[in-house]
Amino acid sequence: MRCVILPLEVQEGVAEANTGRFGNLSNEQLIELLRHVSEKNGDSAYASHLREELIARNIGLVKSIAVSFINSGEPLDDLVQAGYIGLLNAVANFDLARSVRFSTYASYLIKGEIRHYIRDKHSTIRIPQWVQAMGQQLKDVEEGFFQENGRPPRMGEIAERMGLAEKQVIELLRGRRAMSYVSIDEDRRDQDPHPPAPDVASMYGQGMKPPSDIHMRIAVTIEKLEQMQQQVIKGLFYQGKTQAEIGKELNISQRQVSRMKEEALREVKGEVLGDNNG
Amino acid sequence: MDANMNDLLNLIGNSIENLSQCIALFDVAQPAGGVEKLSSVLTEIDGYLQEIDADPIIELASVDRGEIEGRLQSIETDLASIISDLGNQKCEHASH
Repeated sequence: MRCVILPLEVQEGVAEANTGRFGNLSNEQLIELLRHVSEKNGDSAYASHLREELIARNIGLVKSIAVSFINSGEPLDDLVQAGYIGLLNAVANFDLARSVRFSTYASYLIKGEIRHYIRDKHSTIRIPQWVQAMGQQLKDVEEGFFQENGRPPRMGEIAERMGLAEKQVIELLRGRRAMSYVSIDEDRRDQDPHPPAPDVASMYGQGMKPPSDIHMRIAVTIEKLEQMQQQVIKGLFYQGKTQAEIGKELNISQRQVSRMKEEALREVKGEVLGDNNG
Repeated sequence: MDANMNDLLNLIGNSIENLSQCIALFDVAQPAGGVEKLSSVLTEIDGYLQEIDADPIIELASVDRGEIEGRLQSIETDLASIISDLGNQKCEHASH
């Protein structure tokens, strides 16, 4: 489903206008309410308000996911727009998120749309129509299965849904992998902070040692944490404010600020300077 | 702030340490230990997010609380998805 894309200012306006209206309800409670209202009255104005609230609440999620793809070289606004389509799809198909948390379900669709957008932008060769169609069918099956079960499908499950033999699905997955390699050059793939989830084929024929893909995803998480750490350290030590000024802002004494900074410095010393220097 | 609560830097330091140990455990084919480390990072981030308002480091470093929350939530989503994939892989092996 493709939707009309709202300018960012309008999205933010919607967020401001709607957030807080159902302040006491969690995402899951909102969905339960939306399910109830939709079953009873169909697509009523109240149901629309509930959908708007869900969108407004999760625009931050879109932005945070889009930021993590910034190394793709695409403008952040465009990544946010692509992610916003994923959010709209998640809200439109809220009923499919029965067995998973809405944020997990929405994140999956948002990341999918952003990756899809990046691949589209970097496609360098023309892929035959039938290969694209099969690839799309495979993607739909995977997404549908994830929405229903909260986990990626296994090989046999994909084969069953597509009416193919497992061997044919393996070939299809190989083809898709090849397509993604020609779509994005290797450097960009290396920088992609969210490489695609391991495909089902890679989970077969290995011992209990997790595949290297899992290592890479954990390493990317560590990198994210390190970036956050650097930002905090920079804020703590290089923002040019005096300890007295910070103390005044926080309503604590200069001595307390100094102690907190010393403590923070001790915490990060091992990470930044190495244990031997501490 | 609760005396037992981590501040942001402590949380990040512990998380990096635990995730590095997790990779090391996977390298020696001990996925159960690795998953335990992943879960402990998730639990710790979850606990921190509950009490983020009480963390003075956020004000002290003049970082945007909402942005930090968003980034930590995104890390939670990533870790949850890794754990889920590992769980599926385990089930797959068990059924073969």
